[in-house]
Amino acid sequence: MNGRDDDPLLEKLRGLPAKSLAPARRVKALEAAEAVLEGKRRVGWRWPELAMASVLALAGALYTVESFARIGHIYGRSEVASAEGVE
Amino acid sequence: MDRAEEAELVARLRKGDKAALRALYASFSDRIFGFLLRLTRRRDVAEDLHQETWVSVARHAERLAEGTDLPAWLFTIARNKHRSWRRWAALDFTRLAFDTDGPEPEGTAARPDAGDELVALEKALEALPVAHREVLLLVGVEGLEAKQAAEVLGIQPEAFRQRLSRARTALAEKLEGPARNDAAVVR
Repeated sequence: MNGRDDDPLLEKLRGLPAKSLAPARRVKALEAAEAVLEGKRRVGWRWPELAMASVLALAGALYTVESFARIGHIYGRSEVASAEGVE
Repeated sequence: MDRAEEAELVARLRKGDKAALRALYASFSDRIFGFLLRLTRRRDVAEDLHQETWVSVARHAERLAEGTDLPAWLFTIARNKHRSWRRWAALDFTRLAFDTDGPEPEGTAARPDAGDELVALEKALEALPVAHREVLLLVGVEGLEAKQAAEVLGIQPEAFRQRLSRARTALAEKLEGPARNDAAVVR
């Protein structure tokens, strides 16, 4: 049941001719919508970028560990030295 | 399209199914265009707004809620596109020049095969303010239920009934003069 039930004037409006798009424009609008839908679809994993990011992350992590190891080594030696001096 | 088909279409649209978009387009493209053409009274603008409407549909399809009323959703987007265009067009002086010329040749009067009654009805509809025209288009031309039309217009059912009644009276006055004054029966 809709809002025009029991109303002849509103019912007459139903008889108005349908409007239609030009075929070319109809296709164009659909293609534009499909392109947006396609663009929004979740892309698969991008393996080259993932591999590069992994290598860089690993290199960064190793560099950080090495840096701390060096610092620890330097301070570690002096602590050992001072400890030996006390004894 | 029954409720089960609509629910299935919503589920497929949420997954980004292109075929579902095509099916929706095939069902509603001309209705949306007709609605926009009768609102704007300009084919070029209606074509642009129609395309923008479908681009928005595609953009938001994945965020559709389950149980979405597709006709109401589509006409809401189309109506919002029209409202947005009207706001911008208010600054466009070329549109003011157009309005003084009346409806473009695309109107019903240009078609010799259209009946006199339909021509008069189309002209009367075109002469109404947008607020009246859109409610009549949604209910009368597109056959939306009162609940759907109220949702599209963003108003409460009671406000919708009043607006429809006023619009209907205004249309009757345009057609037959101010004497006819019987109110619409809306359920």
